[in-house]
Amino acid sequence: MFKDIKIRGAVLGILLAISVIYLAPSVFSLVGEIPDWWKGALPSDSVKLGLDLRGGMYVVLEVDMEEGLKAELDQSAALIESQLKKNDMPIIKAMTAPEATMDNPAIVILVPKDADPKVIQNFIEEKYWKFAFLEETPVEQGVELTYRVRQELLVQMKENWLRQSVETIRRRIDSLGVREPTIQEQGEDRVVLQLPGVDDPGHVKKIIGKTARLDFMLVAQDAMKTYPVATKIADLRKENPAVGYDPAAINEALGDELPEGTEVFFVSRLDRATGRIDKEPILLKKRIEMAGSSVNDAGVRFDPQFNEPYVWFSLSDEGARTFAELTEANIGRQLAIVLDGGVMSAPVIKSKIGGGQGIIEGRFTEEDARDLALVLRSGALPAPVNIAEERTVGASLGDDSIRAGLTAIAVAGIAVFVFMIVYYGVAGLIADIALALNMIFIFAALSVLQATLTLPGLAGIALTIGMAVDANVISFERIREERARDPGISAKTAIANGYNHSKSAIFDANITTMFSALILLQFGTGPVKGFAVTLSIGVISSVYTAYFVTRLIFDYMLDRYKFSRADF
Amino acid sequence: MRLIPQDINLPFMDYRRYFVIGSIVTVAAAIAIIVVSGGPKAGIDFSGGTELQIQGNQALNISDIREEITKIEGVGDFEVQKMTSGGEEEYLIRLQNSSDDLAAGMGQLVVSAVNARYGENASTLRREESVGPKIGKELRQKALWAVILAVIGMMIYIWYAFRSLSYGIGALAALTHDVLITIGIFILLGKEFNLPIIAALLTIVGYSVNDTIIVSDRIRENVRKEGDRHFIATANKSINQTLSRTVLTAATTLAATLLLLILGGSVIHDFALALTIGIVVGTYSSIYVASPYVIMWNSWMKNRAAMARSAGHTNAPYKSQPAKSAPRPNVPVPSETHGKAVDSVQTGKVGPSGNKGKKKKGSGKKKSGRR
Repeated sequence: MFKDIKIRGAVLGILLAISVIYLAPSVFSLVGEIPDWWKGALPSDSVKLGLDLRGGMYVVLEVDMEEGLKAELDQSAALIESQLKKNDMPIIKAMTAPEATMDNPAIVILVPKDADPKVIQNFIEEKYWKFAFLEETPVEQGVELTYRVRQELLVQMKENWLRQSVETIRRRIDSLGVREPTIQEQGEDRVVLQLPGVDDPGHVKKIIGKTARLDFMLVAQDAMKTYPVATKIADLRKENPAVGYDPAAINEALGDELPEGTEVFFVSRLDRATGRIDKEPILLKKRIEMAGSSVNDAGVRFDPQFNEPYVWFSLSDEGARTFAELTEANIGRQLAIVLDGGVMSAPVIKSKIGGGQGIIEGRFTEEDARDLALVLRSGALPAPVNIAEERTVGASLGDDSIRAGLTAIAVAGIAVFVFMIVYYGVAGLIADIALALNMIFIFAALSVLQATLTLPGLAGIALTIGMAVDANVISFERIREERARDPGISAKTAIANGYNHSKSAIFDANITTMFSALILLQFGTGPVKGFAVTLSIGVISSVYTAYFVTRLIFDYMLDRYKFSRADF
Repeated sequence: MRLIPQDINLPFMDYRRYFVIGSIVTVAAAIAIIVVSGGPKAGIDFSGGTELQIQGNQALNISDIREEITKIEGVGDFEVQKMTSGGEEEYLIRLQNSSDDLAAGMGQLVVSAVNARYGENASTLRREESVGPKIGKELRQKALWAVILAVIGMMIYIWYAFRSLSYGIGALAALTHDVLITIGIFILLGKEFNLPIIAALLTIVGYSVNDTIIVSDRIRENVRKEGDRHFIATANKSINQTLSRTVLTAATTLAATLLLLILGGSVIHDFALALTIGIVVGTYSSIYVASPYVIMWNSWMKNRAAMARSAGHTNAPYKSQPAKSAPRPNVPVPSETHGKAVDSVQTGKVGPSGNKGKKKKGSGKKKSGRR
C-alpha cells in the first residue's frame, strides 16, 4: 500500500469529492429541486429507488410461444394455399398439421390423386424456403405433403416474437402514460416490466395482457344449415357441464362430429335492454382468411343513432389488398371478426371493400372501446402472454417502508457511534468518522452505479453499520493486546502491530461475507437483489474505511501530534 | 472502557465434549422439527400463490373478513392473519391462485368485498404479490443452488486460506449448526419461508464463517508461535483472546438487527427476525461449536499420524487421545495435559521473550515427560 500519508490522504479526498458530487442530486431532490446550474455537466441522477420503496407494479410476462407458432403456421398455410391456387397448382388445401407443436412445427399440403406432387415441392422450395420437406404420405384423397419450419428459422422466429412482444407492450404502456417504465426481455420467452406509480394495476394488466389478436374468418353458412350447432352444444352441456362456453373444450368434445373444416366459436351480443351479454354459438371455417397484423390504426367513434361507441380500424397497404380480394371473392357471405378467439360481429359482405377500412361494433362501454382501439393501434401481440409473476406495492406502504428503513439505519448509526466513543475513546471517535464516511461512500456508490435501493437494501446498510465496526474492533482489541503485552510500547508500534496482525483476519472475514453477497446477487431477484447489492458495496466500503481510512487518520495524528501513548 | 478483561482465560475447551454433545442434540432436535413438520412452510415465492396486505382504516373483525373472502368466486384455500408488527390494523391474506390466470385482481376483489360490508374506504390494499407455479419452481431451485454454492464456496475459501482441513471442519460444523437451528426455530414460530429469508440464511452463513475465521485465524497464529503440541490449550487461549471482539461485534450487529426488527416495519419483519436469531446462534457456535470440532479433528489427525509413526512404541507422543476415546468421569476434571499447558501459557505470557520469534516447540517450561 502507499506509504505516503499525502498520497493516501489525496486518494481519500478525491473519493470524498466524487461521492459528494454524486450524492448531491439526491440531497437536492429531498429538499426541493436540482438547481439548473448543476444540471448539464454534473450528474443529475438521484439514488434509484426500488418499487417496494417507491410504489408501483412489477410484472413478469411469459410469451406463449406455442400459441404464437400455431398462429404463424395457420397464416403461412393460408398464404401458401392461396398462392398455389393462384398459380394453378393442383392443391386441395393447406393447413397446420394437427399435431403441430414447437418441436414439430409442421404444415400439411393436400394434393389430389392424379396430380404430381413434384410441382408443388419445387414451388415451395423456391418460394417458401422457410419450410423444409419432411415426408410424403398417401391418404384417401391423394397425397399429403408435410413440411416443417427449419430449425434455425424457428429460433429466429422466437427471438422476433419476443422482441415484438416487448415493442408492443412498450407502446401500450406509453399509451397508458406510465412514467419511467422499465421493459426488458428475460431469457427466451419472458418480458419483465417495472412500472412505478401505477395505482390501477387491474387496468394495466388488462391492457398489457390482451393479445388483441384480430382474425378475419368466414362463417360456415352452408354447414350451419345442416348441422344444428346450438342444439348439439346444449346436449353436450347437459352431459358435461364443465364445457360451459369454452370453445376449445367444446371443439374437442364434438370432434369428428363437426362438419369438415369448421370450428365452433361464440358470438358476444349485448342485449341492450338488459345490458347482459349473451353468447351464441356459430360455426366458422377453420382457416384464418386474414390476420389482424395488417391493422395499423384504430380509434373510437360514436354511432349517431344509438350514441353507442364503436371502433374503426384501417389496414396497411398489403392488408388492404388482401382485404379487397377477400371481400370480392365472398360477396353475400358473412365475415366474422374474431378478437382473441371470440367473435365480435359477423356482418354480411355487401361489396368489395377496397379502401382498407372497417368497423367493429358490439357490446362496448366507452372504456372497453378505447381499450380495444389502444391495443389495436399498438398492434397485436404476436402470441398470447400470461402473467407469471406480479408484485404491486402501494405508494403509502412504500413511504412507510422508506421511513422505517431510514429510521432503523439512523438509530443503529447513533447507537454504534456513541458506543464506540464510550468504549474506545478517541480511537472510537476516529472509527466513527470512518463509519460516517462509509455511509457516504455506500450511498454515493448506489448513485454512481444507479443500482436499485430496496427495503432489504436499507436493511443491508443497517447490517453493514453493525458489521463495519467489526474491523475496527478487531484492530483496536489487537492494539490493546499489544500494549498489554508490553506496556512500554510506543503508540506508533502498538498501532502498527495491531493493524498488521489484524489484517488477515479482517480480509478473510470480509471476503466470506462478500461471497455470500455475490451469490445472492447472482441468484436473487427483486428486493433481495437490492440487499445483495448494498451488502457487497458495504463490504468493500467498510474494509476501505474501517481499515485504511482509520489507519490513515492514526498515522496522520501520530505524525502531526507525536503521540507517545495512544489513548486506548 | 473495557467489558472483558485483557487476561481473561475461561476454560471453554474443558467442557468441549459437553458443547459438542449439546450442539449435536440441538441440531438433532432441529432436524426432527424439520422432518416432523414436513419442512419449512413455503411462502408464495416458493409454492406459488397470492399474498395480500390489507390495511383496515377502521376496526375490522377477522372472521368477517374470512366470510367475505369465502364468498368470492373462484377462491380456493386461503388464510387470514392479523399482522403483529407494523401498523395497528394490518391483515395478511394468503390465497391460492385459482387458475393460471394471475390477472384476476384478487386484491381489489377482497377490498371491494370488505368495503361493501363495512362501508366505503373501510380498507385499502397496500401490497399484492402473486407468483405463478413456474416461477415458484424456479425460485425454489435458485434458492437451493444459492445455499449449496455458498457453503461449498466457503469451504473452498477456508481450505485455500488456512491450508488445513481442520479449520474448515470447524466452520462447516458451526454453519450447519447455525442454519439448521435457525430454520428449526423459524418452523416452531410458524413463519413462512420466502426469498428474503433465504437471503437472511445466506447472510448468517457468511457471518458464522466470518466469526469462525476470526477465531481460527488466531488459533493459527498462536500455533505458529507456540507449536501445536498443546493444541487444546492453544485453541482455548485463542478463543479467550478473541472473546472481546466476538462479543462486541455480536453486540453491534445484534443491535442493528434488533433495531430492524423493532423499527423496520412489517415488510421486513421476518427477515430481521431470521437475521437476529442467526446472529445469536452464530456467535454461540463460533465459540462453543467450531473449536471443539477443530480440536477433535486435530487430535484425530495427530492420532493417526502418531499411530502410523510409532507402531510398537508404548508411549504415544501425543496425549490428545484422552480427550476423545477414554471414558471420562462425570466431573470434568481438567486433564493433566490441560492443566500443564494452561500453566505454561500463563507463565509464557509474561515478558516479550516468550512471544518473539516463531518457535516450533512449546516454550521450555514444560516438565519433561509430558509430551
